[in-house]
Amino acid sequence: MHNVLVTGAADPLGRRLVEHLRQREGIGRVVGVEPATSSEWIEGVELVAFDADHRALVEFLNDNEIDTVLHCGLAPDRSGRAGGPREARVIETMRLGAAIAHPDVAVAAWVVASSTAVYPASSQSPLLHREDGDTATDEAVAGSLLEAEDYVRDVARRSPHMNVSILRLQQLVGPGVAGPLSALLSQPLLPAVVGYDALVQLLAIEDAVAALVFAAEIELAGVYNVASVGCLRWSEARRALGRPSLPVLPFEAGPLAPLARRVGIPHVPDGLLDLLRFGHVVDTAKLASAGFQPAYDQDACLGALSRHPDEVLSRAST
Amino acid sequence: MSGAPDRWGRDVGVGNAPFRALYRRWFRVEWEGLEHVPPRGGGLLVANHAGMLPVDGGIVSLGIEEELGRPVYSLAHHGFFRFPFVGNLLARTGGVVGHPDNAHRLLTEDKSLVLVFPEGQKGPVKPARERYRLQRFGRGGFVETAMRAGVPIVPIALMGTEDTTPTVTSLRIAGQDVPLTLNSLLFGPLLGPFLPFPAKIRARVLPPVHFDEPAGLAGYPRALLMDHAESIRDSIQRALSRMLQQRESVIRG
Repeated sequence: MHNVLVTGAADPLGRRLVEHLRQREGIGRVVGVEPATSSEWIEGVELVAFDADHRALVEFLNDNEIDTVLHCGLAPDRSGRAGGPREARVIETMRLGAAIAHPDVAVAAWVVASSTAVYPASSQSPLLHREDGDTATDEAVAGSLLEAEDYVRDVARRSPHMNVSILRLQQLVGPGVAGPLSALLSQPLLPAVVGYDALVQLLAIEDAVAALVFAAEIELAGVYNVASVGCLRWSEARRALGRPSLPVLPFEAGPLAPLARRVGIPHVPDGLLDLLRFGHVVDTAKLASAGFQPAYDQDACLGALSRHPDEVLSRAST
Repeated sequence: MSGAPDRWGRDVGVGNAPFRALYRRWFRVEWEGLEHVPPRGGGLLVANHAGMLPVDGGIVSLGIEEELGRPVYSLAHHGFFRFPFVGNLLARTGGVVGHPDNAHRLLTEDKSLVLVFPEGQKGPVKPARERYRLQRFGRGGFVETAMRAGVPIVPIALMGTEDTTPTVTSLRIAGQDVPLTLNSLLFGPLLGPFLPFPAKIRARVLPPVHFDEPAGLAGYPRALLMDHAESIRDSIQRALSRMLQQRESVIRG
């Protein structure tokens, strides 16, 4: 790994990744990019057109002599930003893949940051989701991610000289991160779904960065779950954060959600209800046997939340 | 004594007091053959299933935990876990969603005892004339689970569970045969299932079945699985028939 391209560089994960790589020994050039259509502009992040003919991307890769691409632009809530338009991100991924697979381009490793959102949260799920287990193919967010992952796998098949890995990142926590669970845990009053106490699992942003770098360095190939060590019950998480909780009924707020938010009632955001009823934990044994050990455990992740609640709150409300 | 729940949600000593009273005084459960339960390592416990509430699961779990000090996890239908409180309560006493990955993990990683009822729902909803006749043991999935995990199957014959909520007849409701129990007749459909009769319950553990096949294979021959399933079902049925012959009265045992 010498010259690295990081996409999704305007989001917390991408930014942290670029920072980390620039301080790392043996790394040459580190370029952070966002698609030219992006509304985010951050100093130091270059805008590149992810066009249908991928010419701009191919040129960019070659001009910078990129040999490693870390794609954090696919799953916004795992790159730290609250969700963005799904279709656009799938298409960007496909165009990036086409550019990387271009015969004139010499990329040796492509790491894609996907999300554990591909797994369902349901009463029928196993306790720990494995990479080869059932995925939520008929759910909108998961469906888009899986479509992108399928495309990435196609590129890998057609380019045997390149090592392609897909890292399914768990719910991210860290400074500035505005993922779904992180935002929920940052509320001053935490919802407690009546009659349920499910297992949840967090991923410290530093562990996410380390996993992505690890995958690039050893040129990992395949699909891997990534999470910080352990898992914990929602009631434990609430206790550890020391915040009061309010019982909520196990129904989605639906049309009443904006009202509930205005009045300050902790409701469970749509899409998180099933997570809080049935849990959503992934098995990280596969990445562990490849040699990666996360440095943080769930308590440390919660600690990060206690220190930066305001920062996360202000980003989540936008 | 209540520690923190384990990753499965099982919490030792929670909510067992009323059930213990039921176990000891109402059903007066007696065990035989406990020496057949492996003292350590994984094992798949297989029993006959009857009774409208999952009382038999609780009885086997509590019995083995009390007599041998080994925790038991029971595979339960995921439908139960959809309901508030029910899922939590089941989990606290060792209930786990009946997913093959869960069973495998419990048997191989945790090296625990796992209890299954191969008759599934066919057990409790069978018609009155099938009293104490084991229904089909599915397609041998439970045998595959044990083989793949490399653990023995320990068959258990339960006598008395059927008589706690005896089926009188079946009603056809919305295209389904719904059993009508004597309890529902006497106490009404809401209370009935929760008021079991004080039948004496005996549990007989049969010698474990060990498999020669290598563990961890992706698939095992269907015919082999069905043969084993049938032979295990047969051994439980024969043990049950012998126990029933020796029984003097339903209540006294």
